[in-house]
Amino acid sequence: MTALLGDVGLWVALFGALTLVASGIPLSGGTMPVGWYRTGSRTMLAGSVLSMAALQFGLLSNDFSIAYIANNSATTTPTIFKMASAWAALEGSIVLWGLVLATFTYLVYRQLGDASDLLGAGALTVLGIVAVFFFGLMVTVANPFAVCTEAFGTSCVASSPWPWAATATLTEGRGPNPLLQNHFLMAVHPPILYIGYVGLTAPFAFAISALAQRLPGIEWAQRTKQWTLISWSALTTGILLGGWWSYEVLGWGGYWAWDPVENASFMPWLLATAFIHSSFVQIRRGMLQSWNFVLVIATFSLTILGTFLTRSGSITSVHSFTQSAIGPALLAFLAIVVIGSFALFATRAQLVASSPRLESFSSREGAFLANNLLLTVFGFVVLIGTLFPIFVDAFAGRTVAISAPFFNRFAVPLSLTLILAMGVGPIMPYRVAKPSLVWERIRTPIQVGLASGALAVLVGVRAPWPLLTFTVTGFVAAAIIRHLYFQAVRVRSKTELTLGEAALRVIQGDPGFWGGQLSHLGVLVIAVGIAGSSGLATADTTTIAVGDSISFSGYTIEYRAPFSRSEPNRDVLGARLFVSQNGQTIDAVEPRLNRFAGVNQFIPTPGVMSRLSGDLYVSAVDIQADSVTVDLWWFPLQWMVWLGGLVIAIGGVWSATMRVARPAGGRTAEPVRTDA
Amino acid sequence: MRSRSLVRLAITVCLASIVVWGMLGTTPNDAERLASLSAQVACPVCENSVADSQAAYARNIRTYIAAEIAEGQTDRQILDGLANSFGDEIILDPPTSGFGLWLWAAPGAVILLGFWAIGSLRRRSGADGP
Repeated sequence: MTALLGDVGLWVALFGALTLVASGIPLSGGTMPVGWYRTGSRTMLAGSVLSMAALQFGLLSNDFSIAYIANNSATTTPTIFKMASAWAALEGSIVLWGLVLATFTYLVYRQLGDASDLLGAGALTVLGIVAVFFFGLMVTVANPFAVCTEAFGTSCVASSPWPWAATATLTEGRGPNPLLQNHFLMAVHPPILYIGYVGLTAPFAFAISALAQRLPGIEWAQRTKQWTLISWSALTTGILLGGWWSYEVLGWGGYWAWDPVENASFMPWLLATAFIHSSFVQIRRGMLQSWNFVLVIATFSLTILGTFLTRSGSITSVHSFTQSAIGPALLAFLAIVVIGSFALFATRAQLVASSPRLESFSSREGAFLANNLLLTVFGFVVLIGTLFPIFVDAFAGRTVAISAPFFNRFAVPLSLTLILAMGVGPIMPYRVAKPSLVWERIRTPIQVGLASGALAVLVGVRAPWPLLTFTVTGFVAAAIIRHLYFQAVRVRSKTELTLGEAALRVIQGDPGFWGGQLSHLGVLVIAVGIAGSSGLATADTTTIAVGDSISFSGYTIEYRAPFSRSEPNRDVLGARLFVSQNGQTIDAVEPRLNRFAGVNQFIPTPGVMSRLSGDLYVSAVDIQADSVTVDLWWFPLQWMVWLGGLVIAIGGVWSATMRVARPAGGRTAEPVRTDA
Repeated sequence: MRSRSLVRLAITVCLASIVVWGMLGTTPNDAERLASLSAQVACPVCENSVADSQAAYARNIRTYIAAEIAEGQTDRQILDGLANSFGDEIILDPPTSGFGLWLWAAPGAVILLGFWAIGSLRRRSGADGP
């Protein structure tokens, strides 16, 4: 019954998507079938909600007649992980994909203007085409509601797409991958990441609509700004939550390993970041119009490429669920997207208005160009590093691994240069920035940056990259604050406001700009967090006997006793370690080894003690009654990595949603512009 | 006024030299060298490098590196020695010859292409691209 409901939901959504595609036919004649778009977007949303509801109902009611549920859930799975199982494997994760895509499509429909809004209508048709592909996948090669026809143990080994097929009786399911039922972030990270990942379809849809209907100009860039910023903020949060999950669950002592799955989400993020910046130049100055098309198409293509890489089984990780027909389907779709979009772009290139000449490299435009160059190169490095092993394997039959050292060699200098540009770019006016003006605006910040670097030296930091990071971030933070301060002083001199009120007025007068600066501050916070936690980390591996203690990084760590407990879905073996400083016990950490039902391997959960100065991270290697062997890490300033991500996302959402404030009362608003 | 800016300049130079001194002032100790070298060595039986693993293989390699450091070998000599014994694959950094050369050269080529595109945007109107 549940399977039937779910299938009906998928078909209804597919029908809605096809309606959106069909709406494009009258659209090509210049008339917009408003009613079709309404029906299409509503039907698609209703169908995708129904399919997700059916999946959730099936999971919560332990309906093991559905193959997906039998293989990814169990009666003993805690409720929150039953719900999260909806996206813990391939077929279910596409249901989530469909739901997010349908929601975005409906929101785009809600913003549709009157019957003359051909740009928006065309975007809905493009969204429909993408949705046809994904709902098409679900009703064919990746059906989440296929019923189980043959069971072996607690697994379903054969299934049928027909909901009326005779089902095998299973009273217990296999349960999710142990790694995916170990932390609450499993319930949060995938949906947020998908909002970002799938949301990037919206700007792509507007760009293709503009090209197909010969409507280039700045309108599509203006209208996609909000979608891009919201998706980008969600993607930022999703990536950081993924890192946090990795940190809290995997126990190898890090949160970012440059593995292909991380790269798959990071590449679109880099290009979306580039697009956010270069779209300002297009909206403000009419420059980079064709480049923005290239960026948006490339960003969307990278989301599909990323999905292919992570879902097709061409790489191994917790995200590559299974090898199935979905790989070739995704690859074909990727080829259609890339070839189709760029072919369309090539045939329309002559329509795109030619750019005004760049008047000077020393200008806001020049800074945006530098930003775009750096982000594009960064994206390219990640792309080539991710694809290289696949190509070498395919063409030379050799296995090579491209791992952290290669990426870091590029990522560290590129990131620092980007951060440096964050201090200079926003304080430069458009068109031409006189060197004397720029110098005046960065002179004090440079001194502040050097002072923060010197401070770091005085507290004992001696590593080159962290010191450079502390110096550069100090400079950028000071440049942003100085910029706000002087604008506030200018507003104060014309009004009777206090400095604080004046600063608030400045910020409210240009929320787009200041939201961006908030995101920049978030990047600085992350940079300091990375410099601390990676550049200044210390590590050790040691065995501690019961009742004994060792000292590590200024703490004394004592092993009191092991403990064990049985939970419905796992047996937990843990070690209780007391952490003391200056003779006083300040905390306890409990690294654990978990054994899940049906899995013959211990899954570790690290114990983490977080302090303002950093994290003490303890991962158990072996727990015995009389001794414990642990990996110990001290990660200075680790919390700043998570906080910075949050600040970046808040800045993005704020930029996207805040309207320019007009002060109440008779007084006319001071036009507060952030550039000279 | 003039003396004030001179004081500022002096302070700036002073701060800058502290930072530079901090950046240059230390050579890594043996433990730091062990950590940085083992992060560059692949671990075929585990996920990342031999730095992040407790597998016996990773421990053996770390012990070997520590012994080499104690013998006074340079970083280069140690990595070359490992590559000679276990094959080039053991070094995580891609090789700078053959296939690997493409990998290292390509980002540089993209940067040059970008510079060229930006330059053309400055020289004449109509061009477009970063």
